Amino acid sequence: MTMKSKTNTIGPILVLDRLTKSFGGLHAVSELSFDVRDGEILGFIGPNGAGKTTVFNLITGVYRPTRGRVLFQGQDISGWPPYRVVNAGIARTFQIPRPFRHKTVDQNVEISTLPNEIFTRYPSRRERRERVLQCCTRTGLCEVCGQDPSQCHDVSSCACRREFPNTLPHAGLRKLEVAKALATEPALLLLDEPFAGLTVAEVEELSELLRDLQREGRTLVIVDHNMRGLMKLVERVVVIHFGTKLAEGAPGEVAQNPVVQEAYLAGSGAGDETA
Amino acid sequence: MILHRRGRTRSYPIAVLLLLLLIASALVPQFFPKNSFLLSVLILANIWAILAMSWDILSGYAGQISFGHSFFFGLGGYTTAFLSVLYGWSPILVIALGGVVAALGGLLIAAPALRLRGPYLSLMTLVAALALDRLLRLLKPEIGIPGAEGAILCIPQCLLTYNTALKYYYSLGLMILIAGALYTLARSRIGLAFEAIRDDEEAAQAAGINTAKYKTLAFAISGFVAGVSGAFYVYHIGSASPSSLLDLEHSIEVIVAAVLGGMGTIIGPIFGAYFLVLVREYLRFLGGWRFFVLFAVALLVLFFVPRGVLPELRLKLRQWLQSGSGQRRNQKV
Repeated sequence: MTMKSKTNTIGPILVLDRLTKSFGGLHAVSELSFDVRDGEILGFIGPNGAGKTTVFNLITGVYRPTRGRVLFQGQDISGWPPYRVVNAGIARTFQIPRPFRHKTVDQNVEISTLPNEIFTRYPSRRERRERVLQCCTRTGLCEVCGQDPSQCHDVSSCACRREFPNTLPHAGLRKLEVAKALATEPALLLLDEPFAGLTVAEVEELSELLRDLQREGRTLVIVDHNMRGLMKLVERVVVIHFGTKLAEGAPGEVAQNPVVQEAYLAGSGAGDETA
Repeated sequence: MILHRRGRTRSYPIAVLLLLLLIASALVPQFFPKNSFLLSVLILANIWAILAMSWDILSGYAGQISFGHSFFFGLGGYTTAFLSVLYGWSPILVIALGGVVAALGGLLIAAPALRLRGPYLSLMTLVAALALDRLLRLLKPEIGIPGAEGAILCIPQCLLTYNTALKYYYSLGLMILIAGALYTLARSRIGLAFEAIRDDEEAAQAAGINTAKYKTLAFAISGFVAGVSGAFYVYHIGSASPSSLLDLEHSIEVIVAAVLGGMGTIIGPIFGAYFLVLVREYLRFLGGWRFFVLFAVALLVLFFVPRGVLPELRLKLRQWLQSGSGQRRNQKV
């Protein structure tokens, strides 16, 4: 196997190996290497424009890396088309929610359960609908659509069938993003600024869900431009700046790191947010 | 079962209305047995309805806006004319083969189309239709009608029947069969994947959908259905020519029909096509003005009900029913 061995006992689920992406002369990401350990919640931090979303796009196959590799569960997935990456077990949410506007909330989630084979009975309609219902209830979409989740036993009676994304509040759209990602049954979940624009209570609720997902054995990578919201949630953070790795380690240590503080102060004057 | 039902979009009043229209259209030859002009016009309307539905599955559902649907119409029509003249095979086989060749044409277009989006894709379909038109005009005159570039006369080989009423029933049956098939497809998980691609292609990929595969499928299905309509058209008029099959105006009219009736509904484009053909044929006394009337009405509809007539009608009916009963209808499946 080509996996790098680390000091920890649990092996990495995802390895970025000297990943580089250039757009013309601009190096959005250069020589970036880090591991995501199986079962952890990793914070992926950087000032605005540091290249966090580009890294997500490289992992999920939206962009093809200029150089370097992405290994998922030991397999080289660099250059795979996005649907293959998703079906291999990596799902992502978008920084700005991207619902399917003309479809109801439950159908938005159902789209993530569709098979790519034209003639297949698997997964069956019933299985897919059960998965949709599960994702809607556990992400709190039923409440968002105005229904007590205990009343939501079956997709046909679920309030998510009546609501369209444009009727959802901002927090609802964030939950829909998570539900869509979850419905692909990922082993690794990449969340792009999932807390942006949420109230303290909503952040707490979403954090609880994310911890639940970790307890189920899923691995999570959470992008944010500041560490404050992530401190209690993540065990480890990777900080990048101008497409290169700046620091890696426990959140407390990294926040004290003078190089990291410098990057934030120089970048956007938002240095106080890292503390 | 790939069919999945959705309580909230089902509208019984529309279904009743469609059933009544269906019965009425089945009875037309009984009430107007002598009016072969009316029957010819309705046959034409059915052919246009099939073409408009084929446009709708590709453009209304999968979001790949085609400006050159006459490409598929022409491929189906010419295949039919050639095969019937050269081999004299049975109409069912020849029409089906017309569809198959047009479906292959769809695959041919899909290959480069996968790399293009939005207006570039639309332009490519338009240019493909132009290219086919010019290619067919180069046909040797021996096979065709003297003096007419690229035209093939295939009477009596491609003549379904001299009985116009019977031909009308054939066209109606074919139209209903295709409407049912496409409506079922659109409501299936495949239709849902098409719609995901239409709404946001990148988000569809992030949901694990192989967008290239589904887009190719949409092109092939749409090509097949459009090819069948072109094939039936050749059986209706008894000849194939670039001007009758590949006129760019067809490509535009079919979009107008689909959008007027309601894009992304499959059934709406049938109404649009009927409106288009009936105005075109029955307002002949207006001369050139009838086209102006047609497109002026289209502009008004686009301005006032951009979503199309059928979705608007459905919405109004539902609102009317809800205010009538005063309570929300039960949403049982």
